[in-house]
Amino acid sequence: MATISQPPQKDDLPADIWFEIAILLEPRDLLTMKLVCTALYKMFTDLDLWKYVLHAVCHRHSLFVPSFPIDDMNIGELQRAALGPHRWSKLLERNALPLVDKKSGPLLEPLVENDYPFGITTASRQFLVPGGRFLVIASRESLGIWDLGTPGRPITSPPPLIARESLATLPEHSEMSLGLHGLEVVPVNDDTIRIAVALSGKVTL
Amino acid sequence: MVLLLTSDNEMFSVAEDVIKRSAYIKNMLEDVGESDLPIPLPNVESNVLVKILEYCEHYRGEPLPASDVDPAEIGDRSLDIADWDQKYMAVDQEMLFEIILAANYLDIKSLLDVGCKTVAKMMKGKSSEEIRTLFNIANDFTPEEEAQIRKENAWAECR
Repeated sequence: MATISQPPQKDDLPADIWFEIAILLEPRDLLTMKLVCTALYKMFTDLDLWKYVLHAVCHRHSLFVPSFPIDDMNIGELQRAALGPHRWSKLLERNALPLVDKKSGPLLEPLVENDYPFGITTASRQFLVPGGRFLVIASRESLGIWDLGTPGRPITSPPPLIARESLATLPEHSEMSLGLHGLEVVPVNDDTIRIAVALSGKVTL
Repeated sequence: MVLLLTSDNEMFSVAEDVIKRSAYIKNMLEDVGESDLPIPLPNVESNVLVKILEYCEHYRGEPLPASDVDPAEIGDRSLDIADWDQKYMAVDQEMLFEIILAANYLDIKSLLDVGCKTVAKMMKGKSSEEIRTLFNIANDFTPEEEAQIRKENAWAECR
């Protein structure tokens, strides 16, 4: 305990109160708190704290929670993922402003180039689920969801197709023209997304 | 009236509807019933209890928050603090922590929330050096340890 003449030290508050304070702060402030002293470093590198923080970041930025395998992530990965929106805004500041001056805003280099057989064509529509892990591709014939891997982890190649649904099965000998008019993907809650596809067309027998 | 005995042996006589903002005392009164014996508060000093009672007095008559409802959605907690609460919390850091600890002990949820928000607001956007000055904390890292943490942070924070 501190002596009477000394002002109280930071760790005079119990850990559960520090937790309550921590979740009110921005993820960036939590990184700063780690640098204050060893007691606070311990408090602010708590795995459960950062799991909670990443969850909260997903909610605040409408990211699809299963994009992150939160329970399997280490403290560094959790911190990096929670700081994602911050890094993104920094990246924009560095590279994309001012908007009109192309010279000061060089094009970003792609992280990885590939030719995975996603089936993206001019006639398909695609949607990257917020969080950056799941890619939905709709074509006239089918709807597929691809798993691009956990953001921040090395990319597995090729990414697995995790679901596919045939959209139109047509009788044989038919000539048809189906049109794909729209694809909407809406995260419903922490573990469900709703996908809607608008198709039109006529079938001639 | 309810009698409260602080850690420094001062006796306070408080109206029941004032102190019932403390869920701890409220439950105790309900469990024990009418009693002339003072309730000992071994974790609260008299100067802090005076401050706590000021809060309870101010909110006297306002409905008590429902006990099991979590008012804040996950990830949706603002740092807005009512004007009166801000003035009330304009105390030195030692008293601020004492109020938080007492609110935690006495289970006064709304006061604990305001206290946490006040501390969070003080820290928001500050550098680690500014926080050390603000709360009078010594830097007990070796230069190597500090460099290591900066490296960890840089990985999380930069691209």
